[in-house]
Amino acid sequence: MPPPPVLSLELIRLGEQASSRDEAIDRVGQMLVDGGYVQPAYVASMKERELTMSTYVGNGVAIPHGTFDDKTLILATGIAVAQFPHGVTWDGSNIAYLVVGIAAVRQEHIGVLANLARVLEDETVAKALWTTTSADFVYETLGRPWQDET
Amino acid sequence: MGQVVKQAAEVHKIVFACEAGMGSSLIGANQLKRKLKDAGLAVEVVATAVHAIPKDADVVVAHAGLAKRAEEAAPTAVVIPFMNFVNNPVYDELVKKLKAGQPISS
Repeated sequence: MPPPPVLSLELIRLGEQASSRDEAIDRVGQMLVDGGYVQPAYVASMKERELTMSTYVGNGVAIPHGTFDDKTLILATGIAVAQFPHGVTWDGSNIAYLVVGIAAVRQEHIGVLANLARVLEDETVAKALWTTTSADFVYETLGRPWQDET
Repeated sequence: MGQVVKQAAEVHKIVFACEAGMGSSLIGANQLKRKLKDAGLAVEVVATAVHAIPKDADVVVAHAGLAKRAEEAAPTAVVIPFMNFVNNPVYDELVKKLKAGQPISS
């Protein structure tokens, strides 16, 4: 069986609500579990990881993922995106509107992360992702083929 | 660990290290790559997990909580710790020094 796609429309959920960071991580974590990307224990690893270093990366985006030791709980590389239009308090004063859960065995996901890095530099696109009601828009913005310009 | 100093001209490879090498380092490496490119500097930037830092790294950028492990993994590299991805001043300082040909130190 071929591995599931790194990013797909099934891995994008819009208009979600969560009252805490852990709840938001539960949401994206469960999406990765349901998609067959990780074992359930990986979700706890994602939460634990935040305690040592926040994965808030700016412009309303957080990228929770597990620790190195828990890579063994990953079955396939996948990225789950959950949008919280009302925001989730992530750390201190940082509020996340787009939570991008990552499970990566190898480097198949670097294109998606490179697209994400570009989004982080562009506040207009980032904010569009916070509120869009089009999963296709999210998919196209983050999943477009990416080529290293350098 | 003693302080490591590199001349700007000696910096060929910058490693962005994070704990798992899965997410944060890739984002950070991309941000830094972009800034170096905008400054017209041809320096390689790679993202790795902290335990997999290549031996030929000249500069390692790592979260403060991982700096000690980074120093142990790459004793000949200048390790630059950072606290937060948001408004990270480390990138601009590093790019500025490289562009001006100033020495880089931990």
